[in-house]
This record gives sequence, structure tokens and C-alpha cells, in this order.
Amino acid sequence: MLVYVHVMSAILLVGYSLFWALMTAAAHRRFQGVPAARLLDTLYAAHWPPLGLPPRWRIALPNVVWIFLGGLVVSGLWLLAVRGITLHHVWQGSLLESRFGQVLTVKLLLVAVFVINSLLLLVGRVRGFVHVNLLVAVAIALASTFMMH
Amino acid sequence: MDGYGVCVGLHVVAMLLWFGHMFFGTLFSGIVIKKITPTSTARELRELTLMWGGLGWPALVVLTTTGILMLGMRGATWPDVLSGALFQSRGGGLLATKLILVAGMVLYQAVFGHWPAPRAILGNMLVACAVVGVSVLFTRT
Repeated sequence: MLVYVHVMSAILLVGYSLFWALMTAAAHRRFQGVPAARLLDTLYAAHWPPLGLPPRWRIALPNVVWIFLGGLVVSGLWLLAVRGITLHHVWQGSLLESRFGQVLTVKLLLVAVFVINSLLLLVGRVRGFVHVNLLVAVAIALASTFMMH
Repeated sequence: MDGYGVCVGLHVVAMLLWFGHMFFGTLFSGIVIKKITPTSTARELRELTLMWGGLGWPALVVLTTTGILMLGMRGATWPDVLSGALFQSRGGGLLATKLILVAGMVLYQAVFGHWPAPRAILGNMLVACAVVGVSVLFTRT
């Protein structure tokens, strides 16, 4: 069940990254300058869910990424604990002694890059960052595959 | 990384992009864009979401190709598939379940594609959730 939650969170994270990369590229391709920025601003300002919750409980569409990351972090830490790996191993550096640990370290670094990039995107919407986010999300998935293989 | 690892990586990435696009588009961005005002802006945004086309068929090509290659690398042969011997074990049973579910998704893709069909879309997403579940179980056999 934990693995399932982790995978579903990853699917939504990749879907989120893909959406913003495609929409940003499409907006700049179809329109130039202000109209593209205007459309993207509307999207960035939109709230989810649009119905069903009081307005104060809704979150801006870009911020749903924190729900997916939360799912990944909680399920990920739980899965590591089941394997007997704790944060203590991370701080100690003993994680790097095995191949699994080395790949996990790369994966965790990529997740950190994704988090930092997402924060930068929320502060200032630099066009290239959305594409970096997508590449990093795919790289995290590949690292996970490599870790399990 | 060996050939099998490359196939697994491509298989997983294709699945993530296809299912991710589907789930996020249906559960998050799609419903948000529908409610954006004015409707002209919502229409423009909707057109942008369709600008690059769908991911279903390209993803299925990659998934089918890598899936067949992986089965071959695991020692499965066409006689095993056609005789049903491949599906006798627990892993084989899970694989058969997965293939039936994927066939359902192919049918949805062929019949509905990107047409508005809320119940079919929901059904397709539930099938996709089941495919993920069966895949997780399959990797543990």
C-alpha cells in the first residue's frame, strides 16, 4: 500500500510538472509577450478545487505540488523505515556504503532540487524553470527505477 | 545499466507521463480551467492544453515495445504466451490481469480519445489506478 501511495504521488507530481511545461511552451508559442503572460497569470492565480470547498480552503493551482510532495515524503520515509533506513543513516553517511544507498542519495538530492526549483517558480515565474522541473521529476523517476532494479 | 534496466526506465517514464497527464488534467487542471472567467480565457486555456496533442498513443507504443522486450529478456516466448503457460504462475496471473486492464485503456483511447465523456474518463482513470496496483504487485513477484 505504501509503495502504491508513493507511485501514485509520483504520477501526480510528473503530471503536474508536465502540465506547466506544456502550458508555458504552448502559451509562448501561440501568443507573444503580454497575452502569453496574461494567460499564464490567470492559470497561476486559479484555485483548486474550484467548487466544493469554501474559498479560504482552496489553494492556488501551483501549490498543489506540496500535496504531492507531502505524499511522496511521508510514504518515502515510511518505506525507508520499513527497510531499516532512518535519517540517522543519512546524516552519518552510512547510506553511501551500498549501491542502493548511493542511488537513494542521488534521488534525495534530485528531490531537493525539485523542491528548491518549485519554490523559485512560486516566487518568480522564470520560463525555463518549469522545464527544469519536468526534467528533474523524470530524473527522480529514473533514479527510483534504477534503485529498485 | 543493462538493456533490461533501460527498458524498465522507459516503461516507467512513459507510464508516468501518460498517467500523470491524465490524472492531473482530469482531477486538477481540467476542472480549474473550466471554471475560469471570462469564458473566452477558459476557452483559450483549454485550446492550449490540446495544442500538443495527446500522450495516449505514443505512450502505448513505448509501453508495448518495452513490455514485449522485457518479457523476452525474462525468458518468455511467443509459444508461452499463445499456449497460456506464461500466465500460470502468480506473476503470470498478475501480468494477464494487467494486460486485460491495459486492453481496456486501449479501447477507451480508440473509442473516446479526447472527446468529453465524463463517465468513460472516470472509468479509464480507475482502470489506470488498477494497472498501477497490479504493476506494483507484479514487480514484487
